[in-house]
Amino acid sequence: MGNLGFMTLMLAGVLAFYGMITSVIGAKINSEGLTRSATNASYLTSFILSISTLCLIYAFTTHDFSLNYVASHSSLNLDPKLTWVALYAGNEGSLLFIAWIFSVLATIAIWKCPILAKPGLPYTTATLMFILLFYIVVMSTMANPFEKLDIPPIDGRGMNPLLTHPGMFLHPPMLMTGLIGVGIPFSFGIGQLISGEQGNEWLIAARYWGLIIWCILTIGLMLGSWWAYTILGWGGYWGWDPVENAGLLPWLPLTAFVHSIIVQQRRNMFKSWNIALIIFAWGFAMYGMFMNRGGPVPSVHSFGQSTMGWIFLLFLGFNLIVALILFYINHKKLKDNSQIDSFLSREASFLVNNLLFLLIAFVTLWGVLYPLISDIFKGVVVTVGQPYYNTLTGPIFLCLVVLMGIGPLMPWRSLNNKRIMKRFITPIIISTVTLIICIILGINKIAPLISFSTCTFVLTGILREWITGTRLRSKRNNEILPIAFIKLLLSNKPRYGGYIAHFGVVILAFSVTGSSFFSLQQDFSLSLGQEAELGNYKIQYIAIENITNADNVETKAIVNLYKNGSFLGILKPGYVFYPSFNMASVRAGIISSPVEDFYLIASEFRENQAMFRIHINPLVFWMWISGPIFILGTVLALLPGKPKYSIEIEQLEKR
Amino acid sequence: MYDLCKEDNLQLFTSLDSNKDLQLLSEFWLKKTLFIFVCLMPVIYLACSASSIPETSEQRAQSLDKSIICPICPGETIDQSQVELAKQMKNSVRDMIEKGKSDEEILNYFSDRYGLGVLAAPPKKGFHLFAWWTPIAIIAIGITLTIIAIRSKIVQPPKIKKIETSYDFISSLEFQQSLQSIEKDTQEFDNGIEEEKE
Amino acid sequence: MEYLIIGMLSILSLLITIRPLTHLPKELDRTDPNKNLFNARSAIYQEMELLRLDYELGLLETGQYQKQIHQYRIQLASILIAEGNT
Repeated sequence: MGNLGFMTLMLAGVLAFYGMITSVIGAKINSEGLTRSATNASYLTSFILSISTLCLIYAFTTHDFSLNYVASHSSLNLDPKLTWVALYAGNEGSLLFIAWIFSVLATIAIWKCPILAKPGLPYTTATLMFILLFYIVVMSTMANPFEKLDIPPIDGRGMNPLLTHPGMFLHPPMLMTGLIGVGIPFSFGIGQLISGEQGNEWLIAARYWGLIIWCILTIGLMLGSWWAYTILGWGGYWGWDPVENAGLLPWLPLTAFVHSIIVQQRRNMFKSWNIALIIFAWGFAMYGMFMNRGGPVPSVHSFGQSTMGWIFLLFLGFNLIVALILFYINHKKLKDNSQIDSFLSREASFLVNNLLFLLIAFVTLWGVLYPLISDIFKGVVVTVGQPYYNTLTGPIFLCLVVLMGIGPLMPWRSLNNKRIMKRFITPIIISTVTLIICIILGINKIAPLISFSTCTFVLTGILREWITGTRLRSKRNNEILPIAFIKLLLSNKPRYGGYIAHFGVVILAFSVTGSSFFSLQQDFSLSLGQEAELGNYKIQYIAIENITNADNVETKAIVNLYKNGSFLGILKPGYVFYPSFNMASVRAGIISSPVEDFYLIASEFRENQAMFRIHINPLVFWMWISGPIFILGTVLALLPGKPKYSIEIEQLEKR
Repeated sequence: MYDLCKEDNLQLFTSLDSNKDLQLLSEFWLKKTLFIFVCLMPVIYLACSASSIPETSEQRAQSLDKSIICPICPGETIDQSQVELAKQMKNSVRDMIEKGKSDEEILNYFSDRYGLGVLAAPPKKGFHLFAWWTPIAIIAIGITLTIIAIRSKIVQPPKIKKIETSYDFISSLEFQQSLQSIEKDTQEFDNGIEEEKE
Repeated sequence: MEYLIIGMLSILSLLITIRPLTHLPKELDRTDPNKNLFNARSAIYQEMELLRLDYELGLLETGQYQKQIHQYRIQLASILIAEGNT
């Protein structure tokens, strides 16, 4: 099926090219036939690419080692479940996955294009097809997933053992979907720039796709953290690795974007900001693709040594230049219809929000690029790692949490009213009380003090509105409180979905603060039978377990864990060694509770002795809880709402 | 969602907003709070970096371990890495702590031996101050520009634009009658208005 | 076998892509004007309810609230007239 795979890839490329060109011509000469033809071609690309993907999957399941990609990433004894992971395990396959997913998203985007955005749709389609075409061309010329080997081997190399973790079923596909998905709102932005008149036509599409892709990207990043925590064995969840940063960079302007869109919807402002933000997001997303495929900095993430990076850099440059030219030409159409009235207003809060996110993005980008700068100007290679990013971005993230508390309490236009100021009183009181409690409990570092009290500030603001709103509704409509609450949430889905997402951020901030400032770590060298203590915990090294499997050798220490003297459980930290890859993968022993995680790593097994490292990580449990909360909030915000009536009203008045 | 941008154009109500004095007073107090908060920011910033001062010497050693990259492993600190060299380096760190060396001396020891790349973050001296201060400068510039941008928009009073939608039929009798009947139907929305006179 | 499949796919793609050039479907205007008006009216009522809730939660000034309610009433009056005309 390798030939079919390659040929369908070509066919999809032809269709994408046709769709791109015909779309623009059709729009210019106002021919509906041509634009519809282009649309059909675009829909077809997803169908055809699905067949290409199926061909590759089929090649894996039939162990067709005549294909180089199949031979490099699978073997005869590969667990069939892992075929899905094998699909995107390597460079070529992941490009096919990205192209396929993007074509599907593009099809949905074009099909479900909102009425207002229809005039710009031909240009949106052309942009979408252009992006798709790029990936297909790259695959056809330099990274062919269906490349054949002259002499097919009898057995393949097998899959990289790091990828056999359950997190790998979701983290790479979600992250890749999130990154390439930014191209969807971006394409609507391009359509808006070229054909829009008032700057608002793309709003509905931008909001929907912005939120969906934001949610996917957030989950992708969180899954990566979870994978790093449980599988990489260094006790942390975010290392400011250059490739992790490449995933974070587009997330930052995208988050600012989904907030800033609200201001454009409500007050017809920030039109230029929103276009700029989505251009930033797309630029960073493509930069992320570049980093993963032969960027200048090696990392645990890269798809091996690849020299393809430069073409992605060119693509990135081309996209940015065209987008900026279009922005410059059309910026008069993006004039704001209103202005900021006061510093103390929700509009100003959103502006500060945009600023803070962009600042974090700048700092991150600077940190990623600085080693190159240092190399070029001074010939010295420096490393920019965790201490740098934590010091510089930590305070800005903290400010964002504070803003998350203040912003929703701010009224639109200006705060000049006693009634509205009353909203601040309860949150301020409760957060001050929290601050005092924290100090009494012995927390003496400023950063966690500020962090915990601002978390309660935000939480109080959210809960206060929920409680007051529920009570008002239940009184007016005679509903029992739980029903009133649900109806409240459903009455204004975007806002309450947003509150739920903020709730998730509070939990995330709470968790990050706890684990960043209150972790304990210690190394112990124990012989069999010996015990060690850290904090309230005690471990006893009982035995070594050696298991030889088909393709790996497991070496585990059996350890009894005691907390406050009583037996808690048995942990089996150790590692798994894969001879064919000459690679060992750490397996940590983790016992997790809402208060803290007990995290144990074992290494250097000698006859009777082993090295143990204990981490006690407070509050990490809550980080994984925040993920589903983000999904819940996004789903609520995106549920279909009130029927859109504003168009009809305008038509009525013109009669 | 209700669109609050058109209300400039409706001169149909005398303003029931709080009078000017209250507005100025509350703005003054809240601006003061904001100003204090903004001045606290550099303090917060310094506190955040200072708050990672470790308590015990072992914690200090761990913190140093996390600041030194293992020279032969890609991107791993000596805290994370399991190789023999990393362990030796960790032992050196602890020795030097016992001998009373400062953090800076310890980091210098390693960077002299293995080059600056062995430090997990660029040193805060010489050319590399550029690495640290550029983001801070950009942050300061960003905040300043934002404040200037907002102020310039506020100082100019918002232009009263002509009403875009045509309300020609406001004067028509048919419309007045319809409006009256609607107002009667939706009377409940006029209840519960709080008087805000100071 | 593979060539057969790709051949069929190519022909299918060609047909689907060419079709709009030769055959434009007629846009059926399926919107019922009365339904539009009804939707618009109920949407405005919902918005007014929300506005009132926001006002009671302290999100709006009294003046803003009243101005906006007046706006909505004007829109409802327009719909009333349009309904009379259809």
